[in-house]
Amino acid sequence: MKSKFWFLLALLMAGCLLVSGCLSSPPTGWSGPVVDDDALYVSTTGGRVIRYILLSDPEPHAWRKAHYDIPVGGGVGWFSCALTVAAGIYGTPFVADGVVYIGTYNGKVYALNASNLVQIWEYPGGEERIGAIVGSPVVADGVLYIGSADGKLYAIDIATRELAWDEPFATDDDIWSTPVVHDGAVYFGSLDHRLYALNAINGTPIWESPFETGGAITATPLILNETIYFGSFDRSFYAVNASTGKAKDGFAPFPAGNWFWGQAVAYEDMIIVGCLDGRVYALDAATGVCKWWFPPEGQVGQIQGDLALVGDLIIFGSENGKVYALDAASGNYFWEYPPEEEDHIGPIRASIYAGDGVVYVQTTSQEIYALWTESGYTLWGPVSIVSE
Amino acid sequence: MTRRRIIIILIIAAVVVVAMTYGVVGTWNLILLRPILNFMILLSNVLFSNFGLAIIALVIIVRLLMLPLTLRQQRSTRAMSALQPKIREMQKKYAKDKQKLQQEIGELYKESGVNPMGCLWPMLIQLPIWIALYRSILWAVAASPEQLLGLSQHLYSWSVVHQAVPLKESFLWLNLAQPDVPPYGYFILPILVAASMWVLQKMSTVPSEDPRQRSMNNMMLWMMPLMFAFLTLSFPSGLALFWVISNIIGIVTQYFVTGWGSLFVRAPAPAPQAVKVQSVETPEGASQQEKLATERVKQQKRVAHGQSRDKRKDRGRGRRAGTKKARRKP
Repeated sequence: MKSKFWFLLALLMAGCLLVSGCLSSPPTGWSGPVVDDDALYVSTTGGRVIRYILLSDPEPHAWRKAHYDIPVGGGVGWFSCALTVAAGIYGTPFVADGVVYIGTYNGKVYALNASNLVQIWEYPGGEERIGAIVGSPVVADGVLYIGSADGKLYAIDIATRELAWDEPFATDDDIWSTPVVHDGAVYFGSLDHRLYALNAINGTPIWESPFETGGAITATPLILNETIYFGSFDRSFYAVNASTGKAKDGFAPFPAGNWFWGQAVAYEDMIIVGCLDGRVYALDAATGVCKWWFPPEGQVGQIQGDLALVGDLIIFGSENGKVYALDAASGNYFWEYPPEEEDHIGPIRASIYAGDGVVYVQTTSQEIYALWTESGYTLWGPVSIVSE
Repeated sequence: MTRRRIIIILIIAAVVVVAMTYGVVGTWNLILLRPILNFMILLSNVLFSNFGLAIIALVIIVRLLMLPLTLRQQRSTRAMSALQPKIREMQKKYAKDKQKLQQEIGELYKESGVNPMGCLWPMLIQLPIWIALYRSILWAVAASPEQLLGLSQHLYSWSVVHQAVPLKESFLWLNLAQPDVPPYGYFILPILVAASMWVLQKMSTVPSEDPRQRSMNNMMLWMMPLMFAFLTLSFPSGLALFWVISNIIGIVTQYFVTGWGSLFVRAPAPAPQAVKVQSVETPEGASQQEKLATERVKQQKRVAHGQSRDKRKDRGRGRRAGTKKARRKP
């Protein structure tokens, strides 16, 4: 009887491990693609960064490639799958001066050689980690800026690989937003509901007090004509005077149906932004009045990633597994991929990359597509990056 | 048809109509998950933006709302257990005549005023509510960006709910979105979950003389707490907090129904020979035996008391029902 008891107990424990591992879904990331010098950089949910050379002959198997595996670590839960999964990457890699910069959910910043993806340095070094990183890193004037879930904005001198400021700037909650550097100032939002502006050189606040909204901020701010545009989890879209940190005169916060997650783009006198309510809104940059929205009736899936502006076209991906192109001036539908209404690719959460007449899209099902900007036809894809 | 039955049929019909409109998952979300989730976030906002306090308050509210069902289930279980010796006797007596056995058992239930389904349906009603509560805590915790993104789809359009998200994760020494294990914690919650569940399990277990039943009880007594402790090692602390509070309230409720039950009874009701040997060998054995006997008498009294209360209620109901029936009859 005793041996049966222990056997059943062991069986139950094994079941528990299985259940706990599979139910606690680990953070996988939704990093987007980026192109630099004819090379395409993508990252997988397994924590692998891959570099493809974009040849004139679009045959995926013929591409030369390199990869870098983010070291496993920083998982949570003693018996969860999280321990066996590499770090999730949420931010789009930032490429500058032959170096690829990446922030990972397990609290590390990596600098990789862009030509072969060999690690140059990491921050912090050794076993140390900062909080989880969700936003993308940004490099300006030799300093890398990145926000972390420990509520701090880090400024790292890429020459010395040490903090550029006396200490990181602390907010009251996680920083998931990608910082923007403009005219010697760093602008970023925090989940503590506030938008901050800091001196890029020493990290001291520029405004008397940060701009307060009613909800968390994950969106990357857009700066246009000394005005900062961004949306918040309170379902409102704001315009703030960049020098004073006060709400822009004459601009009424625009109310939408759900949170704003991604960055807006500017087109002529309009600010165009996607929303988690499944719509794209075009607002008057001066007044905040909505000029058009897409789709005119109903909604597509959640729009989370940043929009891409290519000429007169707004291109974006949606959670419903579709890529849409709209006329930026009128919001009229231009094309969608896949073209058949009932066809869908995997959900798209990452920002898409557009350049040289081609749009690069990465889905959460770990496939990449290259589409012609003007027609939405496939240049190549889908290419699975899971097996790479 | 009684008014109660009409109400039940109407509720079932409404659920079926909603299920046909929104699908099973949609209905589940619409009726249970979203209301509990949004109420919990609202509570968190009211309770000083403290998600830990919101979990505790919500568990207490849900437990209080379901208290009548819980009490009914516990009393039914006790009453059923008290009948087991008689049922075993009948099983021996009518081993060859199954039909007669069923008839006799039915008669016994009727005489004792016990409904064999009485402990089942309160449990069936409570189960989906507990699952919804558990799921909504997992959603609200939003331990990863993907989960927070998913949460946005389940919030009501109330501004206060959107403004409260993401909820503050810190409570006492805990990060509610992470398990209470290093580097986020100190293994306190897994221990508390296991200990509170063991106490509750021990209190609610009815001592049995049947060796098979005894070994089954023993297995459950250890397996459930260990299983939940293991789960707590990888689940967010918010969920573990929910289990601990729920167990503590369960212990208090159980105390008012059965007292400490079998909690302070060291050994399950031993066979007569074994007791003899023990009492001869050591003086402690004798005192232990006395303790056991006293505890058993106490329990029998409590069960009898609960049963007679149930009986009185059932008799009252029977009379009332009978009167109605009698009135309806020409």
